[in-house]
Order: sequence, then structure tokens, then C-alpha cells
Amino acid sequence: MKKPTRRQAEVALSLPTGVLTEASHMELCGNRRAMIEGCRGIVKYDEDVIELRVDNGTVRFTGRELCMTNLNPTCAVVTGRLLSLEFL
Amino acid sequence: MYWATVQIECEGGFPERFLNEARKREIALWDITRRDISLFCRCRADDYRFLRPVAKAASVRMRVRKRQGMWFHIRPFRYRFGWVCGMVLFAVVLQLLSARIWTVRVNGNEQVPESAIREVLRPLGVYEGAVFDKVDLPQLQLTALEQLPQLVWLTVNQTGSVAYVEVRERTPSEPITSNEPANIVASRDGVIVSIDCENGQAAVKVGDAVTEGSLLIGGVVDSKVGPLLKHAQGTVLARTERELAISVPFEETVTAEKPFPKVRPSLYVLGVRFPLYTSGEPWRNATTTMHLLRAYGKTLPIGIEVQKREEQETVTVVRNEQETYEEAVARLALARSEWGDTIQVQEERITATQTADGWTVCGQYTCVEPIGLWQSLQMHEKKE
Repeated sequence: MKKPTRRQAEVALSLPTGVLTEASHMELCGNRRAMIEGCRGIVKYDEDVIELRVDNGTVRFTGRELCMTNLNPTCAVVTGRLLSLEFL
Repeated sequence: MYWATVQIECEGGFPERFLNEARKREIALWDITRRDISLFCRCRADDYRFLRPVAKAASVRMRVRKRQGMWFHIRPFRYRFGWVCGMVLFAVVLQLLSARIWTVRVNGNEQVPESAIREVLRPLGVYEGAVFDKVDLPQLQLTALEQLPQLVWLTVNQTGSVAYVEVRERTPSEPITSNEPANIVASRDGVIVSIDCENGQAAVKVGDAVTEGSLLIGGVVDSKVGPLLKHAQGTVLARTERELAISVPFEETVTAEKPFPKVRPSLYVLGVRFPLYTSGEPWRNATTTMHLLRAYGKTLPIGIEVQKREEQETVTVVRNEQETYEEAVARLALARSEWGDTIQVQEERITATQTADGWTVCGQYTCVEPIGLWQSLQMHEKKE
């Protein structure tokens, strides 16, 4: 019998996503601030583009005057005028 | 806010690698911005040295752009021990003195002297330098009012470092006129000028000559039911004769105060006195003057207390004739002024006589003055 995956267990038990699986948690405050928990690294850092490596891939923030106001092993905070958010 | 932070600029190389490596080494970075080829970020000053191998690994050139924090402000003073000690001393003194009473102010007293109130409050814990929190106010009020019967109310309020002592004095009641039967008799010889009889029976009239002890207003009043005993009251003015004689010798030995009194200053800080003199104990019978510092209208508990003791010496004074005469006249006028305002001098005759030793000045005065004096009636029961 095939072993159920963690994701299937989450669905079966009606648990919130990320309890059993590894998933980054992102929080947006309008288009001005984004907090990313579970940031695994920085792929690209530029004035208009910031790409962060997360658990499920890469997330790209596009905008103007972007600034990373906080960076520590578990969390990153991106501020500025965010124009788009893409999962790559 | 960190104790010390630095803003660093990273140029060239791989900035992303620099950030990732710093994150792996758990070096906190913030306010990371990219401008052209430069990357600016902030970190703690003590983490900067850990960033050097990171920068080397990422091939970036790292430079400090700005230093911020208290450490960089006080660092230039690290070898100025006096400045540091002064700051520490200031903090300690401020901490110690803020909870203490700097000044005691007494309000509302007119009859009771402030010094008496302060003396009573001192053992109860209200004095310069005391900690106000230790004062038991209800007990203080009970004890102070018991020791100061002239007061009906007392309280102590603290505003900042000033203890305001508010008091209310007892209103004196009207003097009760004695109802004891009494006569008014003459206290000296004279001729009656006016008589104002308020109670009792006048025994003299204007123009009568009286001697000392003569009855002026009687306390026994005749009536239809027999004699009534009263407390005689009234004002009797009489023309009297007074005489003063002053003799002043040419050479006289007098006791005078030394021109320069001895002075002992002490430094006064919060009720504690530090002597600024080297020998001897503090004088007990000396005039004490306090000179306290004032700032913005507030009296500070710091100042100089000066004890002054005036010493006397025996001096032989030699005067010529004119000086002796003037001294005698001056002393006569001084003796005359001691009579007070109730005695009105209508006529005065001054005669001066020079003797071998000095001058004698005599003054004869015709005065108008009240001569009434109460004398209790002596009651004797008649034994049959």
C-alpha cells in the first residue's frame, strides 16, 4: 500500500497548509510591505527586482525603491512600492 | 535601538552571495538597499568584524559609511575619567536627592514662630535631607498639634523636593473682664485733669489733687437696696510731675562690643554641616545666619551657615566738657523715651550742673498721664 504523503494527510485531517509540509509563509501589507517567513536565500537583489528562494521554489518581487528592511535566518521583510509578485 | 550600529557599503563582487552568507552565519542585516553597483546595509558594530570573511568570500569591497549609536558618542570620552566620574556622580546624586526633602516651608503662622514649628517637626521626620516617604502623616499631625497647642490644624504636603507645612493658628478669644469687686486708686501724686467713669462711683472730680493710693473710682455703689460691689472701670488722667537726673563723668569705663566679631562658616548640605574652620567646637550661644543658594525662585538645601559671636571688651572713655554734656543730654532723652506714648509731656525744664567729675543733667517734666490702678476690695465679715 502506498504511503500517504504529508500533503494528503493535511487535506485528510483538514489542517492548515504548512502544518505538516514545509511551506513558506508570506504576509502582504498592501503593496508596500511583504514579510516572508521561511526564506532560504537571495537569488537576485536589485533596485527593482528581488528574488528570494523559498521552500517551493523562487518568489520574485518587482517594484520600485525596493529595500530589504530585515534579513535574518528565518525571516525577510521587503518594503517599497511593490508592483508584482511571481512564483517561479 | 542598538548600542552601536554601522552602515556599510558593499561594492563589486556578488552582493547576493554576501547576503546569503551573512544570513547563514546568523549576522543580522537590515535596511538593505541597492544603488547602482553598490549595496548598502546596516549591522551591529560588533558584527562588522564577522562580515569581513563574508565579504571576502563574496568578492565584495566593504566600507563603513556611517556610525550610529550611543557608543560612538561616548567613545571620545573614554580616557576622560573626570568627565565620566562627573556623570556617574551626577546620576548618583540625582537618584539620592530626588526622594529627599530639600526645603521646608511653613505657611499660615503669625503668632507661632517658624523655628518652633520646625523644632517640633524635626524629630517627626520633616527636615532638610529627610526621606519624605518615611513620614507617618497622621501620627505627625497628632504629635505636632499636641506639642503646639496654639495650632488647631497642621499638615505637610510634598511638591517635588519641597515640603510645605500648612498650619492654622488658634484664634485667641476675647479677654474676659474680671468681675471681682475692685477700686481704682491713684498710682502717683497729681491733679485730676479728666475722669471717665464706666463702672463704679467716681470719688474725685476734675481739679482735685490726689496722692498716691487715693481712691479715684470706688467699687462700692450706694443703692436703695444697700451697697453694691462692682468692678470699677474708667480712665482717670492727671497732671503729674516727673523728674529725671543723669550724671555722666568725664572718664568712664564702659563695656563695648569688639569691632570685628568672630565668625565661623560651615558648609550646609541637606541639614548636614561641614565646618570650614580648623579648630574648636561649634559655638552654642552665637548668632547663626544661613545663606542658601537659590535657583529659579526655589531655595536649595546648599549654602553657607555663618556663626557670629560678638565679644565684649572693657574700654575707658575719656570725654571733654562738651562731649560729656552732649552725652548726658542724649542719655536723658533716651530715659525720657522709655516712658512710652501714654505719658504726654506738657512742659519740660532742663538744668545742667557741672561738677568736678562730670556733668549732671536734670529734667523736670509736667505730664498728663493715666494714673488709675486697680486695687481689690478687701472683704471682712463682721463677727458678732
